[in-house]
Amino acid sequence: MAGSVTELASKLYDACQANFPSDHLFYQQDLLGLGVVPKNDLPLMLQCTQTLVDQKLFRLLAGKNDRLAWKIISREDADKLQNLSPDESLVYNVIHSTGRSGIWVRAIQTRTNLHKSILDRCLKSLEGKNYIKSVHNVKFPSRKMYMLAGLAPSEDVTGGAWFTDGVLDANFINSVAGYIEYTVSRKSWYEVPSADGPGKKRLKTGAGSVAMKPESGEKQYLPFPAGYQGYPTVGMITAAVNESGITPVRLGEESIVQLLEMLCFDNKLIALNSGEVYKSVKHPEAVKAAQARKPGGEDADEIDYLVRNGMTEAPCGQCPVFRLCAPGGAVSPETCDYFDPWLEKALGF
Amino acid sequence: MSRFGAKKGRKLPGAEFSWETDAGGEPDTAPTPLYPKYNVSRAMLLTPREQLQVDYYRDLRDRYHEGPYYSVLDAASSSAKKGSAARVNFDPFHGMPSYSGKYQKKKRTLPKLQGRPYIMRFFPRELWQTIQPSFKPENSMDGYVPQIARTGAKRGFEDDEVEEEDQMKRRKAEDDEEEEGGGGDGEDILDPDEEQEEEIVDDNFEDDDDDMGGDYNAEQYFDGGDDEYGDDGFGDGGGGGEEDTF
Amino acid sequence: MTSQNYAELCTLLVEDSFGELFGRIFATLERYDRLNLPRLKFYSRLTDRQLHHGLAAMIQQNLVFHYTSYDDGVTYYEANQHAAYYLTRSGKILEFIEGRLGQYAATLMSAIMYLGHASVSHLETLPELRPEQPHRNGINGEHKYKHEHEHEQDEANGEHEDQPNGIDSEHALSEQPYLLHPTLKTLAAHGYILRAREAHFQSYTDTVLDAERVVTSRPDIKSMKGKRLEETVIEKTLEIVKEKTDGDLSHGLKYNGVPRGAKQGRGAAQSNDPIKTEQADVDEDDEEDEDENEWSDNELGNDTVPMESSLIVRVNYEKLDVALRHCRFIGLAEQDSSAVTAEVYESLLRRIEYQTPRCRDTVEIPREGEEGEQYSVPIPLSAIAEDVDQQLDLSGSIGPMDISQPFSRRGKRPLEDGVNGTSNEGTNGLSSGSSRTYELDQHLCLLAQPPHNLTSKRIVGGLITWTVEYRYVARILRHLELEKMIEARYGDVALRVVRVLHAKGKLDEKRLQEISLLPFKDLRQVLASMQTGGYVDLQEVPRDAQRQPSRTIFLWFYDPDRVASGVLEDVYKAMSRCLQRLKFERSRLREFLEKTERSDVKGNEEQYLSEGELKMLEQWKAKEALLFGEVSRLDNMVAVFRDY
Repeated sequence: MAGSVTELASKLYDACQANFPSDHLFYQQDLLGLGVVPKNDLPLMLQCTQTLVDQKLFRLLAGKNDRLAWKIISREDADKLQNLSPDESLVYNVIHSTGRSGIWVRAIQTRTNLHKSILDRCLKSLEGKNYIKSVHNVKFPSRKMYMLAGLAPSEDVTGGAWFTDGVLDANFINSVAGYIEYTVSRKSWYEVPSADGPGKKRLKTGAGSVAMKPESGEKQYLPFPAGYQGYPTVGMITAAVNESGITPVRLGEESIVQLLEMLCFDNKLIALNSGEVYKSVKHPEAVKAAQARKPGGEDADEIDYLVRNGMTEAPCGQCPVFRLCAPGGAVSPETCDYFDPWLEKALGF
Repeated sequence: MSRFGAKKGRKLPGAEFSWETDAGGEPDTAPTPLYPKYNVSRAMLLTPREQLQVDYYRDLRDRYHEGPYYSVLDAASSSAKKGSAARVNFDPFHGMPSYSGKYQKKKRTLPKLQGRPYIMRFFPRELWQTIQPSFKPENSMDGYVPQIARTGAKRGFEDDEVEEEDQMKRRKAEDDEEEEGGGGDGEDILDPDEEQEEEIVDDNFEDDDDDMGGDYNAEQYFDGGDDEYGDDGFGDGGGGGEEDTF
Repeated sequence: MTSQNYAELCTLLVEDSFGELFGRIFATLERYDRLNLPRLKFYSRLTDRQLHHGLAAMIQQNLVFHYTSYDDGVTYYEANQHAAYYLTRSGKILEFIEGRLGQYAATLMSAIMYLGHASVSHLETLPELRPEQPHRNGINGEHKYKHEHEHEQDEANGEHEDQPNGIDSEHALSEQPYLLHPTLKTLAAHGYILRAREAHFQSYTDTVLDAERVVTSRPDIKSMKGKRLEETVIEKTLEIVKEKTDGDLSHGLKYNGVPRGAKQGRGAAQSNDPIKTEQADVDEDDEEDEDENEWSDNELGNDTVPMESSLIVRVNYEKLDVALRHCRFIGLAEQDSSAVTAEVYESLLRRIEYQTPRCRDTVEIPREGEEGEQYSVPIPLSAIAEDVDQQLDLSGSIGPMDISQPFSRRGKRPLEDGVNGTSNEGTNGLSSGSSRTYELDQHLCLLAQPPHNLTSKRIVGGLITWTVEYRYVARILRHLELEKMIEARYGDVALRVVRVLHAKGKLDEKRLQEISLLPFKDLRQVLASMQTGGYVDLQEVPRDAQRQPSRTIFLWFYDPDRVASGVLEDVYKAMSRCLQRLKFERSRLREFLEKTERSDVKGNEEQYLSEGELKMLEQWKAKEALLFGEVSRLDNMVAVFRDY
């Protein structure tokens, strides 16, 4: 009898594997519906499942409404599991259950109720067998977390494509962001064909505003009219980034959107149609110029803030002792050390 | 700092956390310089437009300065009254009258009100005589009803036209007066006669007499003539407090 | 009520323009708020004569409010900080007037400012406004000098073929039309000046209280009760206040919503002058000449009725703020759109300005998020089309809708080819009408785009109209100023953090990092230094009653209202410091400057001063100009934080 149960169980397992996807949740009726167990013999079927559970080929789970349910385990995994001690097996199952998000050691402890030293031993042994791995979670950098060795940690854990080992990869971000800005800017402005672009065009404007006046040899860019449909979409930008070869891994759209939003906060891009398409603030030449300027930085004097106002340039605006300054005080406008260099810097005498 | 930190030989709690963004090489214990070095930003030169704005501002300001209202509190000179604040501040090196002094810009101590028309209804009654010395408080001027005499409710519904008529009449009168009297003032050079007149009144013994009572007021005694403390608003209080300790 | 920094600044401004006596009186009134003559005398320690003369002169300049109480007949005096502050804006206003209405108008405005308020008949007597001797007094002389200077610059630039100066002066000497009355009318029509009323000489609060008294003493109102009484009193009070303070002179001086004297059909007047002279301009003289011609041709002929000579006029700062605010808006448009678009915007804004008496109806700038929307009057597209320079090339500055289409600049080329005259007409004929209006609409649509949304479109009764959402654009200006400061102080990383916080509200550090994509170290540093500077702040949300730090959520936030009010104070203080430093710089050079101001030296500097001294004087002038310029730049910020 025992032999036939094992045989039957094996048949049942094969049928399950053949007819259902690997992560299917089996209820009693699913298993009976396969027609492997004769006469819908429920006790017999339960015997079979128990055998499979013992062989680590089935995992027993609580389904909806606390009904019994099972999931199948691949034969390789089952082999692994069969070599584990019961404690290790328990821990493995808990870690398995959390999937790609990983689980905190303390959470394993509360769920398994194992003693800390035993748990540690189990984890060590599992890690040694390369069944599980420890992962770094950006949200909780101080927590020790585990997940199955074969899984890639989810974005919640890694923080997305922009984190390497839980640390934000600033260089990578900047290079991709720079690339995106330039790519978008090329599609956001109309480049006047050089044949009639530079030279004669004279805009009838006040003397002060010559922003768009082309110098000879410089490309001239015009804005597209409102409602222009040709601005790049998230999909287009993602494809462009992935084709460019600047990223070692393929970036998903959600990662790119993250970066696009950041660029909007940097006032470099503007989101249109509630984030479906993007256009750049500056035209390509200006983007290039700005990006070329960035790494220089040697003449800190000349930091060319794009915009200035009274407070950023008055000596008081950034004065370290501004709060203390009062006429007649120790720090006062009369004794101020900053005005003279300030005047000198601006006027040259 | 060392009071309870040093005794136990360990750092104050939290000392290991620093808000300091970068060390900058200087130890924290050094006294803060009065003017720590910082990179003063470079101001942009004025744009032509700003230059024009500034020029307009300066023109107007110069006009105010040259105009009849610009007045200083004490024109320090050797002719100042003995014992007066002006005398104390007299500068023996530069204050002496000199030949070139006659070209020196004259400084008024009192705004000159004559020489231009005023619209009396814009001024409070108590200043009318100042503005127009010929005005007698008893009789209303040019058929003009003083404000106080009016009844409260009526004041909200003045008839502009009547006023304008009044005002025209008055204006005419004023114009006449102007022609008779100080024609050609409003020029920068002060009319010598007027200047004299002002000088006389400015050398104000009478006023001082009036003020005598005030001058010996205990509260004023300590800060009378003391300009330094006059501007902070605590001078009076301070004087009062000292008095108590006597 | 008002801040110490503001009070300090106002006193400095008054003192700088009018001397110490005014300064003392003003400071005393600021400190004690409201004083009668004996108390003022007691606190200011001035003589009766000083006070009487000083107060009278200050009332003439509107620097002091006065109010005579009904109960005891005592007159109280109060400092008018508003008027004092606007002293510093006078340069900006005059420059604006010059750009808009020509130099004579600026001279006239300057005269009105100088006098405080003035009757038309008094203005008639002023030498600098008389036609016969246009360059007699010092002011005009200086302008003359300035213009000559600018002409030189022109020639250097080679941009503009200038007339020899000889012609200029010849012109000056030749007979000019008597400009005073037409110019006054123009100023009045634009609303830049208004009729001085008694209520302007007492504080707004007093005017309101008076009006309330009048209202509540009316028998029909006395009989009311409760809520109805309250509402009626408020309503009627505002009515009376409005009636008493209203000095609008533009009534009857506008034609189809456009004030007389406003430059219309500018293209026609300037066909031979390719450089348009809108702002601080190089060839102002020419422009002005043309203005004069325009007046003499178009308007003096029809309307020679002079202004009532008894009329008393004063400057309408409220209205001028509207105009200056529009200048800022145009600057914003110039930043990220073409000059053509900016000019179209200017035409729209000018139309709006004519119908907008003040920047806001509320005294305080409303808190962010509570401000609602405040749209300007809608201007029909057709009206803008009328105003925009007919020669302005509308098509050449916007790209095509579809990039695959060959881009042709419709009717664009010929404009440049013909220097003037016939070919222009032809082009305009072609592009005018519906297609031109359409192009105009395109430019306005461009302005309506994010992020600035400088315009918004509205269909009113089937007509396309354009408006400006004032609060939104004013808010953008405000944020821009704050962001400039943050960028300068804490770098562009900080800018990103602040923008994220502003867009998303309160965030904990982790979420903030995810959005801003900044390494923790940088993020913490920048947050900490900004917190020290008062730009961002931290809120603690404890998760249990013990308030343990480990069980507490820390949320960063950025409150632009709070930051702006702090910055405004700093700006006042910085303005004061610049003025104080200027005073100190002047005292350093006192001996020398007194020499240059001597009546024999002034005007003959070349003759009396050595070369070194001349250089020194020039350097001093440059220093002074820079410091005043700095104050004026700071004032731009005040305008944004307080007035717009």
